[in-house]
Amino acid sequence: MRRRRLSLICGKELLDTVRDRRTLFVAFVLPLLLYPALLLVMTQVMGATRRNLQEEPQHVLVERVPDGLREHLEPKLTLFQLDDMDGPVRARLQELLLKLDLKGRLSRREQRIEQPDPKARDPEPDEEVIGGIRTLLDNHGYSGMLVYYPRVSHRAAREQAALLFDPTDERSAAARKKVYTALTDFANDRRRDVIAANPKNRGLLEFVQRPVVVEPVELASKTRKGAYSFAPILGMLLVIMALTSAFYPAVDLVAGEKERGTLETLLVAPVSRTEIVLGKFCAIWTVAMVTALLNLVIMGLTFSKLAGMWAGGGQIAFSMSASAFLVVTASLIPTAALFSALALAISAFATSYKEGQHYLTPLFIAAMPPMMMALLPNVELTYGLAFIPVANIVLLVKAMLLGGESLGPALVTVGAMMLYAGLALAVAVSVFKREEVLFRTGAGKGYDPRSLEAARTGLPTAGQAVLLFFSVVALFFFLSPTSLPDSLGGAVRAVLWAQLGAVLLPTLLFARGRKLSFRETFRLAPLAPRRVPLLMATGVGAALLMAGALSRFFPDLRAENLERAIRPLMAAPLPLLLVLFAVLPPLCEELLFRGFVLSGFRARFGEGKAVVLSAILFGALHMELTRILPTAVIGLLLGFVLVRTGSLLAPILVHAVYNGLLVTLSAAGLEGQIKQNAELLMVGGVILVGLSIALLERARPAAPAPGPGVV
Amino acid sequence: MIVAEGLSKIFHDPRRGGELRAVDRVSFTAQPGRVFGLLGPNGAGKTTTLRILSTALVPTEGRAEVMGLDVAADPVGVRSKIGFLTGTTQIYERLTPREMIRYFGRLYGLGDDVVEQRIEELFDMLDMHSFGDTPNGRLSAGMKQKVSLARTIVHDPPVLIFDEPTTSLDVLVARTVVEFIAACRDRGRTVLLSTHIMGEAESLCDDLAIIHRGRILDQVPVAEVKARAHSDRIEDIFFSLIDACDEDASR
Repeated sequence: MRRRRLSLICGKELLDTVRDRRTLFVAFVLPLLLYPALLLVMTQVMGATRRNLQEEPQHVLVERVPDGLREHLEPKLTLFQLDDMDGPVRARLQELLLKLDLKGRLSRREQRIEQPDPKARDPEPDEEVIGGIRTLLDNHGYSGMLVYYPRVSHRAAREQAALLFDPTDERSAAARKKVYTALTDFANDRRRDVIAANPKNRGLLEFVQRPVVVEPVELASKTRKGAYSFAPILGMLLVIMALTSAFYPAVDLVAGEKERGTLETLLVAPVSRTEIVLGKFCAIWTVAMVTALLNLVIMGLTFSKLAGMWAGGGQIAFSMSASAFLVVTASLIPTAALFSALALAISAFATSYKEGQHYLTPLFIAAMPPMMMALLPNVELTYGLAFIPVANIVLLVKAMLLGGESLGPALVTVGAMMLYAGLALAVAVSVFKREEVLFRTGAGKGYDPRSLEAARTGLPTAGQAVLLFFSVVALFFFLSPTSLPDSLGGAVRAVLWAQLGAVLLPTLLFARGRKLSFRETFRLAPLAPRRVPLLMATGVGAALLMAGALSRFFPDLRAENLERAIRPLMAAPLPLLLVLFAVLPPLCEELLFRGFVLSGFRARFGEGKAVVLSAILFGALHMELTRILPTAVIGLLLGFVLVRTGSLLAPILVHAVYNGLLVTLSAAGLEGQIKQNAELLMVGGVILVGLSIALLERARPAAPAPGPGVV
Repeated sequence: MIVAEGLSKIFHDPRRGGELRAVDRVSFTAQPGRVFGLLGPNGAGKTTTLRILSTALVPTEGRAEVMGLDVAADPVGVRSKIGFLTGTTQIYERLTPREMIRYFGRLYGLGDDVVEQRIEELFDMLDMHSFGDTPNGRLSAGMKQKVSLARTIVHDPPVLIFDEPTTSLDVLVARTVVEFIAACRDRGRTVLLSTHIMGEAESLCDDLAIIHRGRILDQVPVAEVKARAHSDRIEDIFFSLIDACDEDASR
């Protein structure tokens, strides 16, 4: 009996939870949809910066480097001679190097190699000296320095090299890796040459084991290294603290008050809405700052303890100078201001504390990409990045802890954050002035039978359109092969999965499941035959324009993309290529974007905005940052064509001709000619598109769609 | 004094693809020293009408004046002339009655000395001294209602608006509220009251408007009805009007 009641209660509670659509959406749907999208963007940004460091030839200052070593260094690095430096600078650097006592360090290292003694350790270099060298190298754009000590006495003697680099600088660390590799290769060369010259040299164990001794000198103190490891975490935690510290009081003071019924009490008092918002904002801001600051202090204490425990007398230390603490505290002020204002605006929409809490997840997810961006190696606070909220604060904390000279960007950061906070506050005030938001529980509560009729027009809602779009993004992600297909069959399967599985199937299932009118949603209307030539011309023009533009502005991108997508398909006959690229995608993608998505947005925002929004989503689906804009432009054109003709067949036709021509051009291997005539193609494309859509007169409205709002 | 002329309120609800006329050309005048009642079923438009008069909502059409001030042009001025009490104007659970009344007294622009003096008066009047410093969250429903009443008249407003003030109160607390309303009227205040309880309307109101589907169907002189024989009670008038209106709508 008891078990039955237990399962009864459990069942009812589950039903209750599932019926709470917001919980469901935030807890399950949102992460499922957003994380893949987020990950894709992140990996692309990250891949780009990684590659840059690998490919970028860092500048390295060298002294007495033999030609053999130079050969190994030069392809990946740009070398500069110490002797070529300006006199006074060189004198200063040499003076510092003298203080560093490289020769002494090297001989002590050799001793340790001969007689390993785990306790023996070279004295820590003087902080002022290494700091001076670091600043000097950095100011002149050098990522590191290599000092070489050849032995002239006899050929098979061990030689020495000292390598100076800054482990707290990604560029320097990358350069160090390359120098190390070059040194290893060079040492192997030497060993081989010496043994080849005289096989007896094989007996010179000291030399054979280690032809070159390398002494790495880290141009960073323990404190600096500690700051370097903890700065990103600290910045990130600071942002998270400020966000949560602001969010909960905001939800309590707005949504909570609505729920408790005390907001209306305040609204009938003779105070203006602006005064209410500003008063609440000041309270939330204060609470957020105090809470976050407390967290920060406790966190700092924990870190210094932790660093001490980890290092065991060693490599890093965490301590925060008073000035750094001040800077972090100061940067908390604008951060907390921005999040307080944002949280205030967002929580005004919620009718209850519980609902308000649900809005935290989206806010968090929105804050994540800029936060991650700031954590990428090699990203530093610049004037441009100072305008990107969240990223700028994380970078500011990093810069301040590492003692960089970035007062200008720091001030811009604070200014930008305050500006955004002001904007968010203005939004909050305007939200508070909207009665349908403030009285959301009250207005529209009265049961209105007409609203049910409106829901039965058979068109999707904007919310459904967005939901479907993100589902497609998620499916695209999960259904795509983990590695690029290398066989024809694999490539064909990948295209089929993407188009049929990720785009077509969910679109049709969604429309069917929601009992939508296929005719209205997908604009299934006949297309007058006289329009066909014009539409084909539009497609041809768009393809010419895009082929020219891509080859002119993104030559690498174009080659790379085409190669990746088509290489395994090169062997395929053109008809198969055309089916895969010129028939399937237009059909599937048009049903989704110009069909479902556009119809969903049209009811809510009107036709013009719906075309623009659906075009943006169309571009976003192609998930490569550089492809978003060109694809969105084509999306605009396709949306326009749909609006003009009132039939989905029109954008399908244009899309098919467009894709078909692009595929044919690349299959024909006309890259070279396209590149030569890029400008001509672009001009011709624009003229052709312009003329053909100008001639495409508006269709006589057939029976107007009984959209919602038309009662 | 409250004057409403042709007030309408239309709610837009794009998600449901339509608009809802919650209040439809409502006109009436409420006089000082009298209780004006709006009697109607749930969803008739009573609350929306009162929210317009208290300036929480802006009318779509028509105009209204409170003590000669236009609700659309001078909302803050109007609010300072009104004491507004509904089931949805709650009190801060984490403050004490004294802190709550002090806060609102200051919001209404009373000086510090005046506020403290006023608190003593109100505590005497409503017999609140015993729980004046206990957090509101720990008070009984009756005590809470007294705090709300004190909050409503802390600035001694010439106009009082009550939106279903006795709904969800037990009989004893409800009687406190009814007596309070009668006392306000006797002190010459303009009282506007919305209710769906016939007895309350009959016993408290001097003028009565029956409202349904956003429209005032009829204004009933209460004194006249009371003077007549039993057969023609407010309830009968009410239901005959409502039924006629619903028949009209379904046709």
